Amino acid sequence: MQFWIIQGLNSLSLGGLLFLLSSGFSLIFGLMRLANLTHGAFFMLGTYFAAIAMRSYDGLNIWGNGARCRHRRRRDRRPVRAAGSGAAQNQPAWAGPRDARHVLHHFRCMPDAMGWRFHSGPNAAKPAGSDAAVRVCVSDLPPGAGRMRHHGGHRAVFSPGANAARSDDPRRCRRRADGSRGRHPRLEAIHHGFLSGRRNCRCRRRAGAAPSFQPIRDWTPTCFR
Amino acid sequence: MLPLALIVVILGGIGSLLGAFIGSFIIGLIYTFGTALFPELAYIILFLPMIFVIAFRPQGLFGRVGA
Repeated sequence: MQFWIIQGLNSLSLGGLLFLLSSGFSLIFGLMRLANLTHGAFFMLGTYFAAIAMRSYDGLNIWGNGARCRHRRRRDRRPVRAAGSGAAQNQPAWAGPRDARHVLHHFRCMPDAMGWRFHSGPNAAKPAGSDAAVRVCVSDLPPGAGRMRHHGGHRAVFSPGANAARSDDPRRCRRRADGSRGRHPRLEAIHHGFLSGRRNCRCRRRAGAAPSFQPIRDWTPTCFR
Repeated sequence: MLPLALIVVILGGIGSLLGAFIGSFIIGLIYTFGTALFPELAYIILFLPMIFVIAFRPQGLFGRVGA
């Protein structure tokens, strides 16, 4: 009995696959009177594209850069500890950034990944003097990168222009131009709208680092480079 | 996969979507059970319905006569 059930299910799935193939084949064959012998090759090409999309970052990340930023839980943003250290033994296996649950997050993050901004306000404004604000993820950065202002904890606004290098920038210098003592640079940044006041926002900007544009990740598949 | 699609199209009728639907499940059944039950004759009983359809009903199961 088990044999018949399993083989019946196998035949159903094979029949469905054959229907997908042969409906297109039959359409071209019937309309154009042309036996398209490359139909199987196109099928193979589609499977290759699907494989590229699945392998792109951490599985089905076909929407690009910010897809795994916004809605990740805080414990998912923990850095992966080195294997073998004492604390790492107690970490669950899914604590790393390459988590299968993030595939579900991509669907929630799709507007973020496409660069849409639904909100207006200080965080949505471009920094003064820059001609383009490029949103990147801090979690996508290489470990030593400290060259950006960011807000929202893990979203960032790059400013390729030279505006951030001025020494009277309130975000750079604790002492104001009139000689009075300024607040903490993070408070100034929050005041000027470059940084949101979220609790878990770690500012990675260092005082001496020159702001420069740095491409975060090359999303081109390896076979196309 | 391409010969199987060709068999399905010939079986169901050229240009017929319903024929492709019925024929694909017929071919799927025949191919799976033929491979499981008679492994030596799998390809013969896969191509037999196509031969019968070509011999006795050249327009296919759901094809038009003129097609």
